[in-house]
Formats: sequence, C-alpha cells, structure tokens
Amino acid sequence: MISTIYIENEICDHPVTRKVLSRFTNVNIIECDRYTEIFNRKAQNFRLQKKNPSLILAKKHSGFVLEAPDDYGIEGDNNYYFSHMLNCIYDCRYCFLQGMYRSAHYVLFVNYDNFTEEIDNKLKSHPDEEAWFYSGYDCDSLALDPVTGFAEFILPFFQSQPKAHLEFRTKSTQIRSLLKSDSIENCVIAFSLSPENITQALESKTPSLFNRLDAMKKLQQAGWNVGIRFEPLIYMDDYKTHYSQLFSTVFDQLDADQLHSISVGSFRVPKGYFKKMVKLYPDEKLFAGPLEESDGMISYRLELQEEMLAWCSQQIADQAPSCHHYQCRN
Amino acid sequence: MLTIVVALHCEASPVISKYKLKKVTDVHHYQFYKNNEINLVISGVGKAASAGATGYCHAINGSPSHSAWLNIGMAGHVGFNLGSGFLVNKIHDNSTRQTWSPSIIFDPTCITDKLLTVDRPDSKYQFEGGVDMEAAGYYVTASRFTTSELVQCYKVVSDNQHSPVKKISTKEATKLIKEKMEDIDFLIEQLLNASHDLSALYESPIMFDEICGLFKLSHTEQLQVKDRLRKLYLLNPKALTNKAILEHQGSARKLLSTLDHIIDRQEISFP
Repeated sequence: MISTIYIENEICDHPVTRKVLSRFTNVNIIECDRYTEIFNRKAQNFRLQKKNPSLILAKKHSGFVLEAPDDYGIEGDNNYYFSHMLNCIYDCRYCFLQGMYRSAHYVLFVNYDNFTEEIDNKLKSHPDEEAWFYSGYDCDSLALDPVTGFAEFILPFFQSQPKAHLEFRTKSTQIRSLLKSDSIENCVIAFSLSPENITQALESKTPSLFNRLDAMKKLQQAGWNVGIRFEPLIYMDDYKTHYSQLFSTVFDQLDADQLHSISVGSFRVPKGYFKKMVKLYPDEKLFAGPLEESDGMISYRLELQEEMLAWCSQQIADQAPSCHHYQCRN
Repeated sequence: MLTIVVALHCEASPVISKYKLKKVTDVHHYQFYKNNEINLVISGVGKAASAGATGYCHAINGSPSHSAWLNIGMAGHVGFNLGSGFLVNKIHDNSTRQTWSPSIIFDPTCITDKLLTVDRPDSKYQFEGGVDMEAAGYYVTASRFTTSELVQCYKVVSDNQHSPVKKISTKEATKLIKEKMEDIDFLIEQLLNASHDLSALYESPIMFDEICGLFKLSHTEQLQVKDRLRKLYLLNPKALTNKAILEHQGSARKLLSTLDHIIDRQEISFP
C-alpha cells in the first residue's frame, strides 16, 4: 500500500494528479520542487525503499519516446519505447530496475499529452512506414493502471493511428480498462510468463500463472491481441520439466491460433547493474547460477543460453505452430 | 545499531529512561549514553554542535554503514499546536540554502513536515513549516555515513505564532518529549529493523574467516573467496561441511579453482 505521495509543485493542480489523488485516502502528501530531490539521490538503498515505496507524481520534461535497443522489437525497423512510470509494484529478483535505480519509489509522469505528442512526431518522421511503440520497459504497463488511468488515455490515440503499433508489456491482471473499451487492432497486450516455481521464487507480489492466464483468456475473448513473453528464461537443472509444464498449461488454456506473438528471451543484465543487484540481494540464489560476463553483459553461459533458447523455441513451434514466435536477445 | 542525537539533556531524559541507557564515563567530550543497540549523545545547541557530535559518535563507535541515526528535539512552528510531533520530510539549511529529503520507508504514526535550520533563534514564524537549530548539521553529517533511509529527524513543537519562543524550562522540555514517546518508540523500532535488515547483508559467509586464516590471501583474493563461498552456500548449504577439503590446496589459485569446481557440481534448482 502506498502511504506517502510526493507531488511536484508544478503539477499539483494537473487533472491527472487530481484523479490519482482521488484514489487514495489517508496518505501522507509531501510537496517538492522536482522529483529528483527524492528519487535516485546518492546514498539511497533500493532494498530498503522496496519495503514501502512512495508514489511520486512528476512532470517529465524530455526523452518521452526513445529508440528501443537492437533486437527488442518483434518486427519492422522503427521500434521505440516509452515509460510513463519508473519502477514497478512487483519485486522480481531478475529485474534490471534494481540495478538501474538507487530508488524503489514509483515515479508517475502525469503529463500524458506529451507522450502522445512525441509518438505523433515519431510517426511523422516515418510518413509511409509502420512503427512499434513499447510500454513496460521501466515499469509494468498495467500494474498500477487503476490508479494512473494511462491505458484509458493512450488507447484512443493508437486507435486513430493505424500505422502505430502499441505493445503493453505486463504481468498484471488489471485489465478492467481494456475490457471496458473496444479492442484495438494495432495494440497487443503481452504477458510475461514463467514456470510456477520461478514465479514463486523470483517474482514476488506478481499474480499467479493461473490468474495471468485467466486475464489473457478474458482479453482474447474480448477480441484483444494477446502476446506471450517467456522472458527471462531462468536456468535450472530440470528446466525442461518446468518449462514443459508451463508450455502445456499455457497452450491448453489459450487459443494458440489467436495469439498475436510469442517470444523467448534469456536472462541478461548489464554488468554494472548486476553488481548492484548482487550487493542488494547477496542472499539470492539466482545470482549464484552459471552466469558469465560477455561484452559487458551478464547472462547464462553461452552454451546453456543457446540450449535453453533452442529447446524452448522448438517446444513452442511444436505446440503453437501457427503463431509468430521469435527470440529476444536484449 | 541506532545513534540518537539530542541537543539538550532535558530533551533526552525520557529516551534515556525508557531504553535504560547507561552513561558511558570514558567519553569525555560529550555526554554519551548507550545500551546494546542504541547510543545517545547530547550534542549541545546549534548546527555546528550537532554536526560535531554526530561525527564524533561515528568515529568512536566505528559505526558500520548500516547504522541508523535519529535526531530528536524541539522546534518552533508557524501553525502546529504546542506539543505536536512531526517527522521531518525536508530539511532546509537557512544559511547555505541547501535542502535534503530524508527517505521515509514506513508509515509514520505522526504528521510529516518540512523544517528550516537557522543559526539564531527565530521568532518571526515566516517559514511554512518547523524551525530548529540542529537538524541540518546533524543530517548532512549522518548521511555521509549511511543510506538516507536510515537518517531521520523528529521534532516536537515548543513554540508557535500564538505562543512565541521564550525560555522554556527543562521540566517543560522533558514533558513535551515524554508525551511523544509513542511516536519516538515507533521511529526507533522502524530504524532498528531497517538497520538489522541491512546488517545481515554484510555478514561474511560461514568458514570465510577460517579459510582466510589458512591461506595468505590478497584483498582481491579474499573478495573472490567470499563470492564463491556465498554462491556455494546459496546453492547447497551442506556442500562444504568439512574444511579439510580446502586445507591442502597450497595456493590461493588452487583454492579458488577447487571452490569453482565444487560450485559447478551443485544442483541448480528452485523449490
């Protein structure tokens, strides 16, 4: 539960600020000049803050839409990502955000209009081409949606821009705003899934596999494009047993022919982030696994990584042959 | 471990009594009290005094980086009632114009507000918040030694616009603090819990000291051994029940290679 909300003075009266605040009672509200006074200062501890993160309502001034890393996208050359929030209400031990920020507070940028303006500018720079926009890089796209109302805001924009494709990356079952509106052809809701033992061991505070599948089914039934992201693949000696069970469960429950896309991706974190993650959680078994450094990235030993990607890809191809699937290497 | 910095003995006495803190007689420069997990220093009035006492406590205790700090004291306030207690959410230094925002990682039992630290007593009540004479000196010093979540500041209102600053008696000061011991107890408990949480991260793996005693290891080699032992105990706490297997390795290089070999043989599984 959020007990403290920081608000930048400049956006105290912003309609989104007022709407967000209306969702809370008995919170400690603290005004500030800039969110950076509180977020990501030196001498902050992510692990301590994660026990009780505050919400910070702020205005973003630049960098609304950024080019996605190579190989991040499903298709096409024009791949971008944007983050209306920094940090996530879940506590996944493999998440790079733990290494990227010193602070675990959630920052919500309330000037949503500037995101759509910038997306529009990007589209204008590719007048005859399609472009993909990914949400959920620095946060979970939907986890806090009942508070932020971001999906409700941005979906009509994409509805009016058929050449722009939107991917919401999530583990959340907060799909009410999606079910309330008509499905949009150029939008995909991509769920990250892991075997149940990994969800329990490494994805603290996230919905169970059962609940995620239930949300995915409801979205499929409502006509939404649903994608699956088996990312990050986590190595265990018996990974084939656990991933095999996962794939069986998933393809039993969902209509594979209706799935938009499936991706698999290995665990990969920049070395600097990884060092911070280990320092924060030296008691985490994941970090004792067969990992190695290559080109400044920490990932599973190459032969294990390739073996897992190939095996999982084959299983998916066998069980969902008609669905577009790809390997994500970033 | 928690160190409490208080300007005057009369403000500290309810805390000293409640936590049965004993006076440490071999500390001569400040009045200093302690029990097993709490230190308390009487800093004297003013920013320089509180900064000095905070630095002194760190030096004499060799406070580790997971130590917590708490400043308790009285403050004037533009609008709060006399006797109100508040946790400080932003400290302004009137002379340097610097500001700091302590990270609050618990649900406070009291209100929070900003605080201005001034060099001389202020009776104008122009600042929209509390006014004291110590917090900025204390905070800037303590936050050099630990993470900002572990440095907090709690004030009780001793004067306001309707009841301006006057010479408050020691008895009145003690009473004001005593009436707020519930808030103070809560803060002490939260800070000690957070400090304990971090302290566990700094513990060396089992057998690390013994192994260091067996080999002449450079600092880097010690870190490498520590990292491998940590991994080994995470994968299998029973993997290294007998240190004899390591005793005859002859060199640090062979020791590290043996540890790598043992780690590679462990099963990787998640329950």
